[in-house]
Amino acid sequence: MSAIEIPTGNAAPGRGGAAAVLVGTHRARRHVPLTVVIPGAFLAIVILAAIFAPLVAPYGPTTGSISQRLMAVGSSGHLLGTDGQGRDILSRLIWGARPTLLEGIVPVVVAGVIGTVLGMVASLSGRKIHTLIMRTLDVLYSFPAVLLAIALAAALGAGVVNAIVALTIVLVAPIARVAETEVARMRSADFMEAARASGASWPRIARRQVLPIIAPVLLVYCTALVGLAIVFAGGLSFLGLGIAPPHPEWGSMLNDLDQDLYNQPVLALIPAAAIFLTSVAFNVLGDGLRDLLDIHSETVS
Amino acid sequence: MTTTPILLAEHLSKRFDNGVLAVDDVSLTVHPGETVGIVGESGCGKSTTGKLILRLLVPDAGYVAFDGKDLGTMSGQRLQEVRKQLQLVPQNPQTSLNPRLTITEAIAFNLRAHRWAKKDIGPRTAGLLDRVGVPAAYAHRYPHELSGGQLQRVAIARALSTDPKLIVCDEAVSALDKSVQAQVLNLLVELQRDLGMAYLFISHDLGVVEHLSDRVVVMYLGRIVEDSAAGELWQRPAHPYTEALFSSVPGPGRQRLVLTGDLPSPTNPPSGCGFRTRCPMAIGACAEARPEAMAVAGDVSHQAACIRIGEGVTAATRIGAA
Amino acid sequence: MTTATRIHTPPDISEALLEAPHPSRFRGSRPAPAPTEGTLTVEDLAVTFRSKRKAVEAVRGISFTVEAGKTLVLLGESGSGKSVSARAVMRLYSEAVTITGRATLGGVDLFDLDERAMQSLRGRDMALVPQDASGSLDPLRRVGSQIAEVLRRHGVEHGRKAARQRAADLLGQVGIPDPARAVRSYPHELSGGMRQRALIAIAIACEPKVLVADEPTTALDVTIQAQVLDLFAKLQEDLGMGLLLVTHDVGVARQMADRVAVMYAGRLVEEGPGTTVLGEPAHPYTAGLLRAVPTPETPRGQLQAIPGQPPAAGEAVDTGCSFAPRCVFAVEECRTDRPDLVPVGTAHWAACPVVNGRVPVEVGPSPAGAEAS
Repeated sequence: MSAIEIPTGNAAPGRGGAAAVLVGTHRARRHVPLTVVIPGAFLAIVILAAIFAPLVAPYGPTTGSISQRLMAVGSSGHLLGTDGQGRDILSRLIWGARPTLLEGIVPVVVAGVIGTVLGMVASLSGRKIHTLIMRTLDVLYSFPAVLLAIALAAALGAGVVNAIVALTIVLVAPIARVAETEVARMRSADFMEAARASGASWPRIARRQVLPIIAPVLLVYCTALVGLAIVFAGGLSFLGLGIAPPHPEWGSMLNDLDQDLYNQPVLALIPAAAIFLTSVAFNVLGDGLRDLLDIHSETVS
Repeated sequence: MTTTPILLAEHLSKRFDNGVLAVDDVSLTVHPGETVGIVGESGCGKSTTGKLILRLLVPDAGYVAFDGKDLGTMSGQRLQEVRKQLQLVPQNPQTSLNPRLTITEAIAFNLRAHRWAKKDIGPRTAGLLDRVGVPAAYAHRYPHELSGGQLQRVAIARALSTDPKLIVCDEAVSALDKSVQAQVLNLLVELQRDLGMAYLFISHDLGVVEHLSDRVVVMYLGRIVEDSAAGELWQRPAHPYTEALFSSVPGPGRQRLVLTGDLPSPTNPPSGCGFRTRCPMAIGACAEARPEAMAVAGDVSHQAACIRIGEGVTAATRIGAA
Repeated sequence: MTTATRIHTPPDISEALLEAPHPSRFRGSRPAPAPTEGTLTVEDLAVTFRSKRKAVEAVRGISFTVEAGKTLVLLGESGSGKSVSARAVMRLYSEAVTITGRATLGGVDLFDLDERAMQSLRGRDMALVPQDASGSLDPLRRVGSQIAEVLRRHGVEHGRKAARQRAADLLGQVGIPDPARAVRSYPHELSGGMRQRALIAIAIACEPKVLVADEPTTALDVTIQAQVLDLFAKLQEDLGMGLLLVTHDVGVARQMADRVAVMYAGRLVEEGPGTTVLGEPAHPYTAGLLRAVPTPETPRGQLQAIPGQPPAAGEAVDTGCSFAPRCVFAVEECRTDRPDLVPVGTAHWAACPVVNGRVPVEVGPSPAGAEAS
């Protein structure tokens, strides 16, 4: 599990010293790269399917009959087969996308807001507050992310909301770190000095001068983090720390099908593939957005 | 000069964390509507002086009074009130404007900071851009779409937006091509004539400082070595450093006073007079005590910090230059 | 042409002189000039940078000559192509940059040499002093060993010890106090002025025939600049080398130039003797550049600025005269026909059909006048 760690600054390409000023260029009319189009289209389908699950899914998420258990992929009436209790896997996959996506996206959004604010406050305030915030976050960061998520979720108890809370706490530290680094890169820029000289208050400078610069970087980073959060969410529900059975979730589906691995190995791959593809799609989308937004740093001479 | 000075800086000193004594007992006065130039080479402390005056840095000693009010005792709301009247035009227009804000947004930021009503900001920014000669078509462009000269006009418009009484221009035209620099200098003079604000004009370019200033302060190694009316300074430079500075301006085969050596380390400046290590007139006494500013030829408005000015010899006459 | 006649005041030069075309008119069709030892001749140089999206013509056909022992100043503002020209002559650009024209040094065609031959020529016969001293020295190696390496590479000194000794001599020659210590210093231990001197020491290590100095004093303070400019003059006298000095500073040009070539938007607009070009300029751009610099006589706020901005590299209009959009003398012809360099005086050419050698506006005297009175 130690292989899955949250990378910091994955979205922060280029190493700029204090002298490097981030120059984002808004060029009119640029090509939308395929790395945005393809994962974007895939995720749009997944998200739409989740939203319109009652209309799209051929069966209810919990309906099934023992007589139809463990039907193979491609059986008539059950495109992706049935699980150990005879429930349609395609339907459970579609219904299960709801909590899975929720647990992937909501923690990143919430942690994104909290982390960005913490990072900006830390970077723009005095040494004491900076130390207080960053060292506290370091403590959180020093635990392996997966372990921390499991420990927190276990302490809070099973359930979607608790899983979201646990993942949010885990994600705040890396996001705040990226935000802090990005702000530090531009803190001594000339336009920051000009903003200070203008007499504007710190919160106003943070909102109007700093945020427009760091927002694209954080957007890219957070998009990629959603992919990671989905894997984490899958892990939690695999361990039974997510949604309560019999309601489906990709991680818990994996757990269910795991028991029949020897009879129908292909079936167990289906929720695994769903988690994998969605996670990769968010990662690729993050990379694509970086190209689209043309985030790069250059030293202005 | 009986008016209350708009800016009074007394005995400012600043030592940085790395031990560099950037500004050492600097005092200067700016009266309403006048232009005071600070001239000197890199590392002389002229920009740091500007930052101390703008309170972007806090001085170790000394105080700055703006319009009779001590900036050091102010914070928050009251400091903001002062900053409305004390604005900055920084050196590099390419980096002093936020790359993600359009030029209108950049100016609007300044106005919002001083609580302008939203509905007034639009017409105000348009009027300012027009005033400094930036075509309205550029109003919603980003800085990288404008040339250096246009950007510096935007920076000037931003400084003007709050009707300041003093604008600190920190090397404001140094990054521009000469043909464009002249346009911006003319604009600065025109704005001063129409709006009546004072300038503190910090530059290494003697020609530009001379052109713009009523009074000029010459700095070397964190200290003021000479302070005089501009015309007087150019005709009768009293301090040997000023003289060397003037004669270093490149030009065709004139008798020149070329200094030897480099600036001494600002972490460990020489005893006594900071310039003595490069001064062609230095004598033993120069190392003993820091020279006090004194009137040149009985003219109290022309002061120089050199113990030998009373002797009536200048470096140039000593080495036989014109 | 009526307008031209109105402003035109024929300069007092002989008919024969008027016949003499500027070298750039030959377009390489004439036989190569007699190879003169140490003379750098550049003919019809054009440099184009190509990227995926567009081609930038930074230099569009310029010709000049740097005579042995003399100084030619390439004067221009940002984007004029002055630095690109100097660097292209030294072949410092990669294959991706298209360079056409001819450059000969003492009869050797620089653009014909293979890369090996050029490398050995660079530093030995022709050396560069760049602007950015801190970026041009290896921060991790002692200054002395960087000079010694140049000496040994070009076979000037073979022994390690002899090269070390020669390095110290060179540092002394460029006016570094305590050269023995400077030899052992790392670049960051030297001041900006000293680093620039060290670069000059490297450049003159093999006593090149031509020194190419690209804004060598722009990053320096005036008092240090004065020292470095004096050093150039002294070295030139001692070593008899030609100097191609690239600068934007009219004052530097005034002090150093035997001849001045003024560039605008990738072309020469005027070329001639330094005192003439900077004293009685023939081209409206040169005149405008001189007037834009404040002098003690200029009334405050009445600088005669050139309207508009200089075009970025490769973005100038190229029908007619590139300066026409900013020129107060421009007539219709200027917008349609590209002006050639025509003689306007003794060894003095200008590319302007309108004023033709006489800018009908008073030009102020010396710039940035700080003459001691």
